[in-house]
Amino acid sequence: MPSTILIIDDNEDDILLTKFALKKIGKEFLIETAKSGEAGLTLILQDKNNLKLILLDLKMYGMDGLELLKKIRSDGTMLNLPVAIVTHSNLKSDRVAAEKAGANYYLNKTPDLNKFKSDLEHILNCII
Amino acid sequence: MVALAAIIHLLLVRSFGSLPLFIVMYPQVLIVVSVAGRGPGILSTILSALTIDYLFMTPSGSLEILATNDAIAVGIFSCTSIALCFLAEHIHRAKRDQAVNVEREKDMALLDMSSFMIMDPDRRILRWSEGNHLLYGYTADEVRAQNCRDMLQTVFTEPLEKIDKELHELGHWSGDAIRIGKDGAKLFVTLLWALRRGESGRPESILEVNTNNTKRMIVENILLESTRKNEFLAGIVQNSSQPFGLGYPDGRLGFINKAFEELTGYTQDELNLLDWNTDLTPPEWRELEMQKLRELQPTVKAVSYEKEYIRKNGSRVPIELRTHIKYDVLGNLEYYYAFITDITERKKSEKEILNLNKNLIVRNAELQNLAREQESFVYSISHDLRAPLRAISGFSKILVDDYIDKLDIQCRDYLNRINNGAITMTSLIDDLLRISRVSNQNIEPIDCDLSEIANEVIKNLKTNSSVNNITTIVAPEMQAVADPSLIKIALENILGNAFKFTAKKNGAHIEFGVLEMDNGKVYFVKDNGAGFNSDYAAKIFFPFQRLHSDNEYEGTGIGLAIVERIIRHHDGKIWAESAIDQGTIIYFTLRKY
Repeated sequence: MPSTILIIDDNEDDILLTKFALKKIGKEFLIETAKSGEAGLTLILQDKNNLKLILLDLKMYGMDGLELLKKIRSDGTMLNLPVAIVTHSNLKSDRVAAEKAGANYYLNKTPDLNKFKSDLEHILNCII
Repeated sequence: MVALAAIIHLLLVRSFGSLPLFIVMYPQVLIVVSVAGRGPGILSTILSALTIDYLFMTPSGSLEILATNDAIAVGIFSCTSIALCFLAEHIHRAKRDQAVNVEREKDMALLDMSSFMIMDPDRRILRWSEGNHLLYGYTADEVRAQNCRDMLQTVFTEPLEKIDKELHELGHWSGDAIRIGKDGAKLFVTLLWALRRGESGRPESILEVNTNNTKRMIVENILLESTRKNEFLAGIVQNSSQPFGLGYPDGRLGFINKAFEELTGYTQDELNLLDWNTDLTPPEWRELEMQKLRELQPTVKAVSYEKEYIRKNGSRVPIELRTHIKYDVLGNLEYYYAFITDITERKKSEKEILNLNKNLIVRNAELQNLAREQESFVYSISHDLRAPLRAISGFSKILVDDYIDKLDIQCRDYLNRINNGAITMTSLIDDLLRISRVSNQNIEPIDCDLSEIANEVIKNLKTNSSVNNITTIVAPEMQAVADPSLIKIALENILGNAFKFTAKKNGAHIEFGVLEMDNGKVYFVKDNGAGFNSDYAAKIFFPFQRLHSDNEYEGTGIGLAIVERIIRHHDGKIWAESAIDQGTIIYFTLRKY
């Protein structure tokens, strides 16, 4: 069974672009998506054993990325679940906050799709 | 004496004939002469002769002719005895005169120790006492026949004509004069002159007795000077515009000046009846004042403090006192004295400043809020703008990559342009965010090594640069007090520009150094790159101002604007010198700590 990658992002365009980048990388993944933190959490709790990577948007309406990440990490069973924060922000403070909350990777949503793809590929190579 | 001698003679004459006459009578006469003088001696001689004669008389009482030999003896006795009287008298007188002379000489020697001289009417010195020698330094030989006034450079305190007139009319004069002694020292003397006239009434000589008053005059002068000085100082204090007051420990007020009267509204007479502690000082200030006064001691002679006075009209005036302590000779507290400053205006100003400060704090907080809001706004804008831009660039990219077969050349070009535009706009938004953050960031200056920061920046730039043959020189140990994170951003931009604009140059050379100028250090980054028209030198520090096209050099034109804000945050200045193809020098300064 192929690994599952969960994309949690409230911006549909960004979900599409991430999916496109994953497709371009050309590895076989099962991709699940959630358009809010709450929906994401539900999926995580269902599929936590199959999840290979969570691509988590930082700024979302309702439960944001950091809040969700903290919840994941506070659950003793998901301490090692790889989470990459994916965001438009390149603020150092956001990066620090993400790392503090237990993010494994920090991925910038650069408009340069090629760069985004290669950054994502690098993360995947680290996991698999 | 004669009777006693006659009895002795009578007893002896029977046995020794006329011989006892001489043995007994001569001593008797000599004793009388020595005791009573020449006259009684002669009288004694005559009586002795008559007594002897009587012995030769007959008992009947008639005067008979004396025996011849006895008469001769009596005659010889009388003559020699009278001669003896004269001789004894002479010897006695000579001896007495000699004794008197010895005494006189002793007296004169003693007298000579006093200061006097005798002059002739023309003031030529005839006699000069040892006392004068000691007083003026000249010996008697040195002054003999000299004119006294010239010799001693006498200056009288009254006209000489008047002195002479008085001397000649009254025969004496006394007064003060200043003379110069042999050693050149000034002497203050009191003179007493007495005129001696000859039998014809003509002046013969003048006796001058001197009293040396120099020491007394010095002491008097010192006292006079001291009194004058005290009066002078008292005058200054009296007329000073700063209030001055003297107060005794028991509450009485002593000397106070006009300004003190004006300050309190009381006159000196009224103040004499007041107590500085209980009448002039409001109750709530008394303890504080006492505390301050207790600090005074021989080693702490003055204290400063603020309090209030109650004026005559009942109003209060805030004052500052500089109070001093005065001890008497025994070391006991005698009185306090204080210089007082009316601080009404100062208090008013302090209040105003306090209000202004409060306002400033409020205003500052408002500004900080505003800055935070601005940053938050810029941040959310940049975030919100970035997402749609990413969609534009991302999907146009997908079209180019995956649907290229279905697009003609023109279409592909347009899509590329859409994509590039979106990427450029994202960079601009990033820069906007960066400059906003730098502008609002609080600086935290510490000691830092600019050389070390620059070397680290250069190392990174070299790693990312495609150009290899760039020579860089960084002056060693450039120490400054600055915010290291901000300075690093500034140097990244300045040195980054230097790398960028020397990239097309053969033998590129970049230098970071410091100049020691009169008013402080001036840092500079010098390159030999493309340079720019110096007319635009001031423009380059404005955001998004670019002097080169994208085709020549990439960039958004935000780098130096960020640098300018960082330098401004450090209270420094930044300026540039450049010429096209001649390279650029960026100068900057930092606040001195």
